[in-house]
Amino acid sequence: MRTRSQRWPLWALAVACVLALAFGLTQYKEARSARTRMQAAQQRALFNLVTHVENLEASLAKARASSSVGQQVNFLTAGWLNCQAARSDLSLAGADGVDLSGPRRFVATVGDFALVLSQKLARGETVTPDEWAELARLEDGVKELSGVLAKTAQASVTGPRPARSALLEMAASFTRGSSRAADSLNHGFSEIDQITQSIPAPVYDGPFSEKNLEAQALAQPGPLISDERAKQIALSFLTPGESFQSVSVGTVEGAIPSYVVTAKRQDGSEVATTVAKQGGAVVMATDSAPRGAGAIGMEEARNKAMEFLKSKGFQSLEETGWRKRGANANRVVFAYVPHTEVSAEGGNLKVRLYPDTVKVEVSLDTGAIVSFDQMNYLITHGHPGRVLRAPIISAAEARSVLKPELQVETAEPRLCVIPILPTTEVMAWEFRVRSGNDTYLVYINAMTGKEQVVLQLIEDESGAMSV
Amino acid sequence: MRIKTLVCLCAAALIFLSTSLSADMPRCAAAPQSWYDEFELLARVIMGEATGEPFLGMVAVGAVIVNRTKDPAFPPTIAGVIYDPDAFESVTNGLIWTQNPTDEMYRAAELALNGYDPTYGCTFFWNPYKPVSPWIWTRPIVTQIGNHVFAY
Repeated sequence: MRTRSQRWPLWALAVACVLALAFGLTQYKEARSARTRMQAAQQRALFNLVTHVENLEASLAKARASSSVGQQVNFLTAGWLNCQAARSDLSLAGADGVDLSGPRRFVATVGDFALVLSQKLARGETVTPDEWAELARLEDGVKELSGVLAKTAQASVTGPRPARSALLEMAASFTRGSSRAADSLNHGFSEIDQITQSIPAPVYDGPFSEKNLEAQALAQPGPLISDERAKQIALSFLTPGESFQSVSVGTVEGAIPSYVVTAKRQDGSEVATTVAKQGGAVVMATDSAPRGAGAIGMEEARNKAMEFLKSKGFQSLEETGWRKRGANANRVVFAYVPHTEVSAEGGNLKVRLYPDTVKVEVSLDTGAIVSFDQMNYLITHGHPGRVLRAPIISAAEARSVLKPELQVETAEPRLCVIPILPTTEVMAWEFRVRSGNDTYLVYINAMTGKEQVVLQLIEDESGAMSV
Repeated sequence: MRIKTLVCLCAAALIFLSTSLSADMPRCAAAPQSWYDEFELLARVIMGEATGEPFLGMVAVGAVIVNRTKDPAFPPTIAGVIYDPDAFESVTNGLIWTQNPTDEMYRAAELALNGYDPTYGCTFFWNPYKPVSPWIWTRPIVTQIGNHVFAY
């Protein structure tokens, strides 16, 4: 017979088993609760998606049926808003293993098209019969999508759940197998993906139209250069004269085929320079060496950036903004644009070219240039498709378009070219105005006299930029 | 003696189990605060996806995330792209919260947010030396940086 001293290990084992069981049950309950919450969120997103797509369909139909321009703008804008909400719902409502890029692209494009038409009407322009027909075609696609979505949502929640004992349910939760609800979701979204992939994208000019999503090539490509020449250009760009532990050359294809020259130092930091194969222009460059605390001021950093740009052959660049990460950041990025002149009655007019941006990053410890980016400049500057004509609307006429309540701070408004879309730019008069405590840049189209863009100027310890 | 050994082993197993289960649950290295913004989130994903990659590769991963916000096939915000279900393994498994990004990763995030894009607009990247979905190989590859290829 065992003595008490011999029985204690059995008791200890029994207590340990009970504690382990309690712990396991607690973990199971927490996991089940989390899974239930996640499924609830997915269900909510799915049903919201059904509602938003139904509302989208109704908005598009009403826009086509309405005879009032104001109402058409309202309905088309409402359609865009429902598309934005549907895009968000899709991320949460989707099924495992189903690619949602097709449905997302479709919904985003429909919303984008609706917004473009809305903006046309708001500017006083006319929506053409072809554009209304295109909207009707997209509406048919939305109708079909709406039907499948509704069926999918219904199937995911209807039907009695099989009765299970708690033990069977726990066992099932440890196995990888889709429930009936998940199966119907997968099937539904697969069908949705097929429907949206089969609907041709509309042909129009908007942020999500195909021509504006394509990567753009160099405005002025030159003759092909070799990788050796690219290496020479790269090593003399950011840190001329520096010796490196190793130098390698890679390539990047796409719209601007380029060499990527990576020069490594012994401490592991590197200077990476991308050089266009056609013409040998440096598209971008960055130095990853760690920097010390800031020691130079903004004016000295500004001078260093300008000296660097002049040494690389840039003339007549003007600063348009700067940005750094917080008041104590040790680096600052400056943005610059070039200007040109256009002939007009009474003499030449200076024109700022905002699409042709060049960015330079300066380290605030030593004033070294630590990154450079002229991708936008190379794509747009000197583009053969850019034809600058004298403005039709005078500066005084443009000023008369501004609201009387705005305080105009610009004595002489600037003429400039501004980007509207990746492939579209307009010439405009730029006014700096004040409303309350906020400052804005208002751009009046120099050809039509319509207000084109309004940007808010934000200046604080992190930078001076427009949004 | 055998029973004592058994009990000690069970106790040790219990302690190990409880601590290892706790460790498996991702915990935030620092609780999200009001000053956390997309910059911090982007740096964490760069850490999760590109640790050990060259600096340009880190910037490229950040640029892919930024590029996705401009593509209609993806969510329109950086947080939306990052938290898109199953988009990034390091987000799905909680890796992004297990440690803090380095200065280099923060710098990479900053460059990507400032528009620096060494991938020329790519919206996909993957490690070609690891098993991936066959579908991803249908994407046109633009460049390789370190262990990642980048594609449209």
